[in-house]
Amino acid sequence: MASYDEQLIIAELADPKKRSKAFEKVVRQYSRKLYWQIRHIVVNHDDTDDVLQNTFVKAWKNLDSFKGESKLSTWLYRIAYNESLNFIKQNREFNPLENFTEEDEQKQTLHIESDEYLDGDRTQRLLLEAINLLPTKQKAVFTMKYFDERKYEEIAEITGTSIGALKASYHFAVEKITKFIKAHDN
Amino acid sequence: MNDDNLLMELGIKRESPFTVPDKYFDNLDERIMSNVLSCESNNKYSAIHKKKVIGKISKWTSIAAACALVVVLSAKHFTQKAPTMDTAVFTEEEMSTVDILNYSMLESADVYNYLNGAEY
Repeated sequence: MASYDEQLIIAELADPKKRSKAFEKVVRQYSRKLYWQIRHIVVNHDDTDDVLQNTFVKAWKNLDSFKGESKLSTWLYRIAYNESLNFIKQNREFNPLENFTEEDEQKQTLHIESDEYLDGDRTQRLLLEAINLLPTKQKAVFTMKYFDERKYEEIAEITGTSIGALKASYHFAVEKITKFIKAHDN
Repeated sequence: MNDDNLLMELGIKRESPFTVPDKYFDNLDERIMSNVLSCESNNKYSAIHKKKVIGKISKWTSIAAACALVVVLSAKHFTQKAPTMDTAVFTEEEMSTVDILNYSMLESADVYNYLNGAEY
């Protein structure tokens, strides 16, 4: 794989003649990482693929708005994060965990069980069910910290939230998930 | 207790439980680029199409405006009152003829009878 020099790529992206080739390098560098970030939030593979495509299309269309104030990777993760949240808001069938009903829970179980691209034991499936019932932003924070193993500083840049608020959000998410799994793991 | 330890105590593995279809990542980058470029060409097409539509609209608007102007001017022209005798401008000589006609009180019937030798 060709080496990736972010400063050089940013300079090439600013040049209309080199833009397309430079963007190809960006896609090669970040497509998988963005796929997994989106997948952990959106869950379903086909939906993830759609959101990923939209993320890159948006990035391409808004290249001129990238001023280099943050890292290119952070900018891309932020677009992916916003696209994922928008997708969930438009398609969510469930209420957040605080007031979910038994019917929501059954729908959620069916949703997880019907996903053919899901591996893992019963506890992991329960974990996913619990994650999917979290409020959208809390779900995103939890998955970025837990699965993607990002630092709070990085998540703060992506989500535009303070580190203190992120720590509190993660803590509440863990509490809810633990409670859910204990209640369902017979 | 640490939040992550709480989850580990429940026996939850940190690894992602998700999988992807076979060879999904093999052509992902090509699909993304072709999607990005096709969106761009669609945008270019729609921008050109928009320009053409606007061009056509402005062409027809100019024609319609010109027609409307012609109609308005013609209507104005034809609805103007024909000059009456009172407002007509006559030369002095013409005016004296008009005066004679007015004051002679001759009707066209009188002239007809006179010419046919009829008696009054």
